[in-house]
Amino acid sequence: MSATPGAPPPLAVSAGHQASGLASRRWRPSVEMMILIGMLALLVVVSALTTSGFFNADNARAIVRAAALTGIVAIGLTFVTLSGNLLSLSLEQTAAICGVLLAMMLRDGWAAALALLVILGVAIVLGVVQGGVVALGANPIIVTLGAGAALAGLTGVISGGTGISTGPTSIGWLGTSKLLGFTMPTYVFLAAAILAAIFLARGRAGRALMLVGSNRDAAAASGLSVTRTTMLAFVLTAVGCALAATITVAQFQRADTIQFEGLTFDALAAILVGGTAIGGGEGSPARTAIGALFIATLGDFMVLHNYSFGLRMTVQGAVVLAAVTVFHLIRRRRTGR
Amino acid sequence: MSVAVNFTRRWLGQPDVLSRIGMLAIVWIVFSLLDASFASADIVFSVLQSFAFLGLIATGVGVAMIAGELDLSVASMAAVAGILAVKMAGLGLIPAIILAALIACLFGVIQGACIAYLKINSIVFTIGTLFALRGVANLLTNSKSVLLPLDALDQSEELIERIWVFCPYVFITLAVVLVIGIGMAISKWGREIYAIGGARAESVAAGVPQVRPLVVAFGISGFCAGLGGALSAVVAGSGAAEAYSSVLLQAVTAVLIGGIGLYGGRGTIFNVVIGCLILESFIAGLIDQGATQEVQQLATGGLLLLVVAVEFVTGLESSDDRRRFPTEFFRRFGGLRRKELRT
Repeated sequence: MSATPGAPPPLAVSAGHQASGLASRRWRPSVEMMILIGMLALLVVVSALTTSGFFNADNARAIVRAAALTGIVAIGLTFVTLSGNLLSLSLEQTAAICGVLLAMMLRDGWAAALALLVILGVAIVLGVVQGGVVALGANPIIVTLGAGAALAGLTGVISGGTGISTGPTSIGWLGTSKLLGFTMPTYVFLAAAILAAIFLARGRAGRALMLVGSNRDAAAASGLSVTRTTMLAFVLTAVGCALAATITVAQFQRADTIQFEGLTFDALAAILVGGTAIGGGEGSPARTAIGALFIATLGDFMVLHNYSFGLRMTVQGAVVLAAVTVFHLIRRRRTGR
Repeated sequence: MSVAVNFTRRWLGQPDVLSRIGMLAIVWIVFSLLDASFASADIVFSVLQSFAFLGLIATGVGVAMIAGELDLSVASMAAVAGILAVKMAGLGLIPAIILAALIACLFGVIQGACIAYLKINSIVFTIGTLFALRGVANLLTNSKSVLLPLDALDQSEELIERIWVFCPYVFITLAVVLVIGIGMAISKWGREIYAIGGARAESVAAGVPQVRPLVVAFGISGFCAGLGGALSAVVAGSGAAEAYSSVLLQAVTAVLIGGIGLYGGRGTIFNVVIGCLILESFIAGLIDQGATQEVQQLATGGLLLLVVAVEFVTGLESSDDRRRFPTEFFRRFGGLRRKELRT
């Protein structure tokens, strides 16, 4: 578990340095990252001391497994937030339509590779369209709210409102196989976090994305395309959703319209708890990954203590509110506004 | 006299209000052509019944949007207020509804104060409260529905007793919306909300208080959501934690169709009412044509995207830009210039 947050931060820090020259002057060793790791460590220690059945390998695996699916989607969404486009509210609907389409193709005997390519294509189209509309100057929350509803309706129409079973598939290993005790989604989550961090720190497009997020005007003035960057961010988000859908379909061999209920808010919670600046340009996939782990650990702690569903949701909402407020105040103090 | 003139100009004189009335007429004409029996008192009654709830929620969302903010927590707030009203039914239905609405109002006031003092993005903050309030709704009901006692049901049915095409619930909504609309149009507090929404930076320079308008706007938003949730739960005879989850989408769509500017400061509560009527008539027409729930959802979402696109076209800086629309469109797509994204 500790290996996940350990690796990416230096890359992410350097991304902040290189991409936003103006921001780097006021950059100090990330306070947010220290708070995050501290809070996660505190939560683990408190849980371990107060909860029987918490501090063991099986439970650790369960936590990481719970964090993986949310984490994959949240890491994708981090690009949207970093590029200064707030958040997306169409995550679970994007995942649902990808899942239903994938399940239908597998059911009808398509080759798995071809079906996955089609899903990737669908995700790219969804990302380009939403990103394109947002880039025109529309509010991303409104656009994704509308797109989400339209997609949910479309998914219902396509699937006829019923669940779709794939039968045994050749991609089952994506959901269920294990390596060193951890399931495949965990490794996908880890790989996504590392790749995302490398992309932001080393990739030209990734650094453009950070600059667009931290200073849109400067980015535009230096010839970067805000439109293309916004589209890229939304495409990466949609691809994250498609990945989550693929894993879920592989695991359960079925898909339906409400399979991903709650995914949007879990992913938003991971990003907000991770402290990525909502205005863009500041944050990292690593912080989002830790945010996802924190939410999953907290959930596990509350389940082991037999908290009711309502109480768990309330506490999670309160944690999100507290995290948002604290990180906002830290940022305000640092930027002196 | 001058008040009356001012009033007419403010509410009816704007071309975008007239065009919205035209849109409403077109919806009715089109669906009447598709089905001759569509334009009937029964359909008007059912549209107004849905309007009773949506009108309240959308007014709250609209006021927050005029202030340049978004309140995403309205659906959860309505669910909590509905549960509270049903649970407090022992006090009598009317006091229970009023109390639930006031609790929601108080929550909105606190929410507005937090957003104003912390200078935090309202989208992020209300996503947090949206989530937390859903949790509270589950907590209050233990994730089951709560039912109104049988003896209170008779009284609650009076709220939707049909009077021609109206019912008391619709009258309550119209009265509340009218009071808020007039308040927004002529009171000092209303003008402050327009000022911070239309031009936040300039309003600071002009000495407009920055906290009060936000507190008032979110207070109104909370009150409207609470009142709508409480009334609808009492009418339905039950409150549930997962209730009203689709109303945020409908409210935002209605508000934008009505012509409230997404970036604040533009539009009146009259726009909100017209927007709600357009959306509800449109949905009633779809149902009349036999559309399933999924198709309705698809159409509402598509409509919202369409409105956003239209807002973009009409929002191009000058009429010159608009005349050169295709060129301007592709120039923007090239990504060299972009309207400042409001966060």
